[in-house]
Amino acid sequence: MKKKNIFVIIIDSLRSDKFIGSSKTSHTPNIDKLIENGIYFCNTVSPSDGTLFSWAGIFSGKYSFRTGINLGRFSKVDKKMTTLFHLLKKNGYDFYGHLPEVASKIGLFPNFKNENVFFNKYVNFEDGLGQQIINELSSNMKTPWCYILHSYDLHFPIKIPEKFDEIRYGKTKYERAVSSIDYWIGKFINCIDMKNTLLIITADHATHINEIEMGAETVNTKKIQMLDSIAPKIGRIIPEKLLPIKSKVFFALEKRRKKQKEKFVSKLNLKPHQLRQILFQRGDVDKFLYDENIHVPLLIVDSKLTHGTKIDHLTRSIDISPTILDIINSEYKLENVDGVSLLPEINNKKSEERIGFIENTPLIQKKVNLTIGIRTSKFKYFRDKDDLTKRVHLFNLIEDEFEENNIAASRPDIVEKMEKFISKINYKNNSKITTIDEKESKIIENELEKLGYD
Amino acid sequence: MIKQNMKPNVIFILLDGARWDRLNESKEFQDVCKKGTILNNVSTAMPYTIGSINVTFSGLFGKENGIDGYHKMLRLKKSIKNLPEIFQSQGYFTACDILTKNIIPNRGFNIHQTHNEFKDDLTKRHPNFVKQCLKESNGKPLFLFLYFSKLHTVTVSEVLKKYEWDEKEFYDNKDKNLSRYDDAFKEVGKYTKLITDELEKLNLKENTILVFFSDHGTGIGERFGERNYGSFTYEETIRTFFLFIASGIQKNRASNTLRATVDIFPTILDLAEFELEFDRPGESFSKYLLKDEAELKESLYTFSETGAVHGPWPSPEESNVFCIKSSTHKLMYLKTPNEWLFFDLQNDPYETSNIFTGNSEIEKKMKEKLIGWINRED
Repeated sequence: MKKKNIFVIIIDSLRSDKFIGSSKTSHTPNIDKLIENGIYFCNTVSPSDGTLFSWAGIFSGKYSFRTGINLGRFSKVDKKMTTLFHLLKKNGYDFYGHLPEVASKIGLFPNFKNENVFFNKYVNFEDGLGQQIINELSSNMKTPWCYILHSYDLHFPIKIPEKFDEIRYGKTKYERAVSSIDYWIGKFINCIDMKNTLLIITADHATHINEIEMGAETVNTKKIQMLDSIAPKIGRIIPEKLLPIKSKVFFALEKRRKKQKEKFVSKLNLKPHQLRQILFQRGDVDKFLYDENIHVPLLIVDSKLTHGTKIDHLTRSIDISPTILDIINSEYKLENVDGVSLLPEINNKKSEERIGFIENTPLIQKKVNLTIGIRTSKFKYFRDKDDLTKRVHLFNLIEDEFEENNIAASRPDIVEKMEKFISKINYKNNSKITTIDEKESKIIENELEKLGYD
Repeated sequence: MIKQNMKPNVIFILLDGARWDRLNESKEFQDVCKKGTILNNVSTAMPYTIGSINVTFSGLFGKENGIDGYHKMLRLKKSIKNLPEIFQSQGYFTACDILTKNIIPNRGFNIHQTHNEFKDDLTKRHPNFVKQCLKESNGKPLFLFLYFSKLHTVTVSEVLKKYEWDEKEFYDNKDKNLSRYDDAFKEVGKYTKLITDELEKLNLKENTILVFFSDHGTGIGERFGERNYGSFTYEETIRTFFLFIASGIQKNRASNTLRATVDIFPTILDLAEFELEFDRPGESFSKYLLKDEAELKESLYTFSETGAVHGPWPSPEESNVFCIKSSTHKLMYLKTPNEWLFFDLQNDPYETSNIFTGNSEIEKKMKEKLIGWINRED
């Protein structure tokens, strides 16, 4: 039986609550229609808050730390690791795609059949990329094909096409950019035969939005971030060898901007989660794993699957690859992975409660304090990557959806359960120390002596 | 349970090395027992202080809490929350006065102090310490852990400092050793009476859960190789007692139903009425203490392990002696010589006759359970 084509659209930084739901103000007729015709997973978490870590997880079915991507600075994924692409290739698939340049450097993606796969991250659909994709999708791609598209249109600094920069397309810049993306998704879908295509729309991670809606007004730090608007232009012309200098300048400016922002928000009566949105900056030393970082949309559209279904159970981006393989009826499966196929659940089979391990992606240019944690359908837990007693956060997401009330101190039982989960997945930082060093031996010796053992 | 809307104080008092079968030697201790319910057949998971206390306070066996050997005394896993940490998280003022600072880590303690067993008079020091804690707690309920070390001091100075582990003279003088032990226990009894009276004077009687307990027993020469405790898992060292005293707890009651020290953790959390859900192996018996259940449910099996510092098969890095105990039998495995021992506790309570054949159904079942426990995954 001929295999279905696969179209994976990853929208960088797209949040679940801005894809569907009451807090969304964008205009997205195409996405809405796809949701009506597909299966939407309301509670999907990405394995990390950064693109490379998430890609590694999505396409391997493994938690990012197991893929090799985290060894040292940004490195390549483990060469020996089996990915979705290896198995699709065995199933006879050809690969097409459009991805930001960095994707060419991490050893994860397959050889693509089309040209000009990798684009500068400041290039948006409106800059010609959208048309390029349409051309490719309309061309005679050899079936079965797998098309991987990663859009940077929502990545800060956001650049909105003029025609979408109106209130009817959303209250904030971010929302308007979502409307613009919807327009292009509609165009892409029109180019393909949806009857024979499995469509996945998701995000690599979510993001903070530096604009807060307060009634009819929006609060933002536009003036403070003026430089952001020219960043794409500068970004494109700076040669690679000058990038370290650019980074230094960037972080120096970030520091200054942070102070200005803090002064600005001190006059406003903002809630903790709103403050987080406004004050967040890429260069922050302390990283966190709030849902605005990792709660992503996941939509699966396939003509053969039930339409208009919404699934509330916790799902993970690492479940995407096993699910794709299951839906296309691949005889090859990803083995020894953390992700599971969501197909049984799509087919109304009861699933076990899942947990999602989450971790910060390090910054390449600067040492920052990273966290790791666990997301369940009820709780969010994260703490310092290296020390489980530091920066411990626990939130009851049912009672506190914006993660404002840290209950870690009063619920040591839940904290411990979460640590057990971390220990169970064998996070490499938790490896046991088995040898007793000289200092420890001395203490033990003294202690035993005091207890009467000579 | 204690007073409506008030969190009860919790005071653990360790009577280090107290043997369950010598409690009658002290009239004072018998008087104190009348104030509460005593469980006198509680198997300690590890018959030495550091291992035992950390099991009791974490509700987890050594493998799971990190301290499964004398040399692992500093290895309590950070991810494990023990009683002091939990009580502190629930708004308690937590303090301890112990023999050495590594008996239990300072995690979760507002005050973590040690005494000098040879110089300090604990009959004065501990009441004063309670007063100090009441003062410093600013109205918070107390979680206290007091360590009464008299038996330890006598064992160290009269046994460990005088005899080598293989010195015949010690094992030849069991009666003398027992007499010395009983004299020391009388001091323990006096202390328990005194501290109970002092707590009453401080108006702590009505709203306090007081727990007197032993971490392990003490050998007096019954087995060659066991000068004190920690070498084997015979009854004289693994059988311990827990005496619970509080206003809602049944008075003047004793039970010899088999239980384990891992049961203390969930019991105390229940008595304190914390709405927390820890995933621990023990089972609470708070309902029995509070008279909601007439009978104390018996543990089918309890497990103990040790690895001695001295003796014929020292193994301070990891346990090499294991046992499983039911209300009627005990199966012991000595890993180093690869030897199995089986005792009928009903007909041979002092475990003098090893009846291991490996063939009986009871032996087979207990062996399977014990091997499963030893090889369990962490």
